[in-house]
Amino acid sequence: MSTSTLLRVAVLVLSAFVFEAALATHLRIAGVAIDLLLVLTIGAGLAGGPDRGAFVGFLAGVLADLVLMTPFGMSALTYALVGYAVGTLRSTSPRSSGWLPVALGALAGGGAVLFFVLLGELLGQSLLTRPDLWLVVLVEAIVCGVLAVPSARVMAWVWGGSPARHGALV
Amino acid sequence: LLKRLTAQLGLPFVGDIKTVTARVVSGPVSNFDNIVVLGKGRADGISSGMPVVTRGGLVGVVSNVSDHRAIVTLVTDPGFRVGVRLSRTDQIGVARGQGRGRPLIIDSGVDANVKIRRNELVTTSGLNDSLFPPDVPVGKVLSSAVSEGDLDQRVVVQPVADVDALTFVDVMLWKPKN
Repeated sequence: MSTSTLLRVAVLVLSAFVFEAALATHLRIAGVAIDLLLVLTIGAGLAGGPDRGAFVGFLAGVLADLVLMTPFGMSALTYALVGYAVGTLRSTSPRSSGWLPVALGALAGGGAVLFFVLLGELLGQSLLTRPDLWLVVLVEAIVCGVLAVPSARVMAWVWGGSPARHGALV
Repeated sequence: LLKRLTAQLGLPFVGDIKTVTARVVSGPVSNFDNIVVLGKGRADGISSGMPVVTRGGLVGVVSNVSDHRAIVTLVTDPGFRVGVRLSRTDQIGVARGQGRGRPLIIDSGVDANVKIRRNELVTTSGLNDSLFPPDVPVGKVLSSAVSEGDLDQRVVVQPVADVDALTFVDVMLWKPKN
C-alpha cells in the first residue's frame, strides 16, 4: 500500500470518526445511532478484499474505542473481523449478482452488532440488557445494506484505482 | 432552551449544596453507552464522583472529567449503584441500573415482609460512607415481588429523571466524606 493510499484511508476514516462523534446524538434512526465507521469497514471489505477490509476495520475500531466506555479493543476486534469476513465472502462469490453487496452489507451490519454484544457479554459488559436490541440489529443491517455499495465505491477510489483492479465486485 | 435552563433553577432537594449548571453537549456515541458529556469540567469545580441531577432527580454520576468536559454515567448504566431509601416504609437498599430504557432494580435490603406501594418515592439514603447526599429523588416504585424463600423483595423503580431528553443538568459539588 503506497503512502498516498495510506494517507487517503487515514483521512477518510478520521473524517468519518469526527463526523460520527460530533453528530452522534442527531445521527439516529428510530433512536438507533448510525455507525458510519462500520459502513466504511464493510465498503473496504467489498472493494479491497479481506486484508484491506481488516486493516480499515482495525483502524476504524481503534478510533471508536477511544470514545466508547466499553473495554479498549472491543470495537477494533469486531470491525477487523467484519472487514475480513466481508472481503472473504465477497471475493469467493460470483461476480454477476448485483444484490450481493447489499445483502453482504446488511448481514455484516446486523452481525457486527450481535458479535459486539456477545463479546461484551464475555467481558462482563452486560450489553444484552438493552431491551430493543433487535431494533439496533435491524436498523444497522438496513443502513449498512443501503450504504454498502456507495461506501465500496468510495473505498475503491481510496485504493487508487478501479474496483476491478482490486478485486472489488461492486 | 431558556425555559429548560430556568427550569433547572432552585432545585428543591439540593439544600445548601452548591451546584454547577452544565449543558449536555453530547449523548451516547454508540448504541450501548449509558453516558452523556457535559460542556463543563474541572475548571468549573467538577470532579469525579459528583452526583448529577435535574429538577426531576438523580441523573447519574460524574465518572470522568477533563478541564472543560465531564462524562456522566447515567443511572440506567448496568454498572451504576446507589444506596436508596423508600420514603414511606423507610426501607433501605441498593438500586442498580439495568440498561437503557429499563427501570432500576432494588434486589437487596428491602424486607420481604414489608408492604411496598406502587409510586412510593425512592430517594438516596445518604447513609455514612454513601456516594450520594441524602434525599435526592431517584425514582418511583413500579412494582415489587418476593420470591419464595427470599428474605428480601425485588423492587422495580422507574427513574424520575428522563435521561433520554437531557439538555441542562446540575452537578452537585458534593464529595463523599471518605
